[in-house]
Amino acid sequence: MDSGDRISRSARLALLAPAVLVIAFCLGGPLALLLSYSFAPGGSTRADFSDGLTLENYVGVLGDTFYLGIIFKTLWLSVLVTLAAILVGWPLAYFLWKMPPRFKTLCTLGIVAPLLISIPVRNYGWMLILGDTGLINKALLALGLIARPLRMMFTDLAVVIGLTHVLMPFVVLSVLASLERIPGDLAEAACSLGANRLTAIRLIVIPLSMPGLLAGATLVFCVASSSYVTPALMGPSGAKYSAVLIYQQFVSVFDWPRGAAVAVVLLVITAFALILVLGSADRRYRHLLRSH
Amino acid sequence: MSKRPAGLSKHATTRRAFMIGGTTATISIALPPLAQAQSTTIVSTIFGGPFEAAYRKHVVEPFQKKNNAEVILKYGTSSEWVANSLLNRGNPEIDVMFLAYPDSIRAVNEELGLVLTPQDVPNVVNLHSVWHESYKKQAVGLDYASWGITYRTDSGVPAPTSWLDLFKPEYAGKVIVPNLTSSGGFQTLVMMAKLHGGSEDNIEPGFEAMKRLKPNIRKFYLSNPEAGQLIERGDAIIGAMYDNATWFLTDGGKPIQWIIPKEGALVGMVSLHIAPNTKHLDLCKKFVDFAISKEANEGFCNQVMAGPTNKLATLTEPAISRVPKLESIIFPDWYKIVKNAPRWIERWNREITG
Repeated sequence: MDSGDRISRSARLALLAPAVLVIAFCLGGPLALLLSYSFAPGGSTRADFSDGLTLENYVGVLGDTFYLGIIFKTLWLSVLVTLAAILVGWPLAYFLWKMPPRFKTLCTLGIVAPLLISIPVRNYGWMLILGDTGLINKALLALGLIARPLRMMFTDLAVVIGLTHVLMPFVVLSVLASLERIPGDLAEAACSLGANRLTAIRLIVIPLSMPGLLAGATLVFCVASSSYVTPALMGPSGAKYSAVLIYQQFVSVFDWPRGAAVAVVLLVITAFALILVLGSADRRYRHLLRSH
Repeated sequence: MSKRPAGLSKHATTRRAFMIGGTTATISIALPPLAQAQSTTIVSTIFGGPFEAAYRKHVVEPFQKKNNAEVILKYGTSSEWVANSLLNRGNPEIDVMFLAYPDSIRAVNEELGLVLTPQDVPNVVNLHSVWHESYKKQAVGLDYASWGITYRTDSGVPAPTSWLDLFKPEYAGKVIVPNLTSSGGFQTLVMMAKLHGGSEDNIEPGFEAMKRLKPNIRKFYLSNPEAGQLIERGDAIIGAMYDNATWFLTDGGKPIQWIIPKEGALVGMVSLHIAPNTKHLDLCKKFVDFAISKEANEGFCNQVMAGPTNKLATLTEPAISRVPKLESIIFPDWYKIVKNAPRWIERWNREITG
């Protein structure tokens, strides 16, 4: 870890500038436009400010338990997906870390493979497994464990499975990066001081993998809460998730100000939740995060 | 291999390797636009699947050959294309929009299509007038499909004859109908209303009927291909679907059939709209004229099992016995539907799929 090179402050800013400009232009600009739309009177595709700004869209969204229900359900599902991705991804990263270099690259590629396939193809693949006439149901029926097929497809469960499947590699790669920075003999030193393997993992490896875990979890949470294709293809019918609802407002109902308001509310709540979690994590693991 | 700079780790990229790799990547990304032919290109849209194959074969490819032009087809959904055209009105990305109900009516309401006269599109005079008048002359219909009932013949339940058969308890959990915002959604709701004494102006009976149908529903599907998949795999055994989408499955050897329910089938139509600000106005007019010509219409409709809009076009077997006659199909009032759509969608989200 060579922090010997002291990069000057102005050089640091110069290095950041291109990325910041791209984000400001390509992300910030459209977001500002979206924000302005949310203050326009609803019911059309034009932002008509001739009568001034209005809060009617926000009142409509925040005052409506139906809309709020959709937003919070989406966030709750994203939390579940994040937890599932961590539960499956962390052990995978640990095993990859311990693997001999010969197999490591191949296995990493295998874990990242889902990302190489287009989303609809992946989702239809899940239909072959989870569908009423799919693999799991056929097996369970043949074994006589169930009398009628289990309804797994087009449920919240299917969405969680589909999203975890595709987002888990982010956790694996992120945690692996953190684990790779742990000096190899640290855990063994702990064992020589009397800890057993599990204690060494609990007290040494897990805390040191926290930066990677938090980065991966953040990514999973953000992508899951704004996900459209997987909930639309694998989830229950109708606008049950935020991204599907927003899409519907823009493309089916043609009420762009209302859609913009839902998008902004989702963005603010997600950002708020993230700041809370990352803020508290920062305090707990400050010494570890700083040293990277 | 040249000497690696000292101190560099085994895996780091040397400057030379980066320059070579970077230059190669840049060239390979920049090359395709340079290699494109310099013929005139117009952009149109299409639904994927067997529809697309027939469209390319009978409309796009012959047109490209005759006019030494290129027609690029974008994929997506009608609503996305209308949204695109609304945003890019001054500088359209799509020159000829290919739209289905209700988006074609939305496009008419927003005046996204050029008014088409017989001078622009000579074949207009050969169309059944409804396919020009119903769009306030801003578009022409290409072909009509019929909205009826698709069912599996191996389900053990006797073949359906009426829309009300969907409510049968034998079909519990195995019925599929579209989500309101998907293709066929509004047709289903309006049909349910009409069957129970309602109409486009009084949709209440439609909602009541859908609530009663809800326990029978496996899924409110999002697209025709998805519906086909669900019936093909046996997740559903009966549903409201278009005829041409079903015939494709039947001809593929599946035990699936389509019927016109005794109360009637509703119309589905795709139409062609020309963006007024397109840079290739003459070519677009020629394209639309060719698409609705007798030869293109016949070839296309015979392959997809759809009804032709050109009076002179004749169908052959098997299409001729499968496609319902124009006079027998129910035409809902799409302008009323589009006006009520936002309210109905809100209600649907809460009461039917909520």
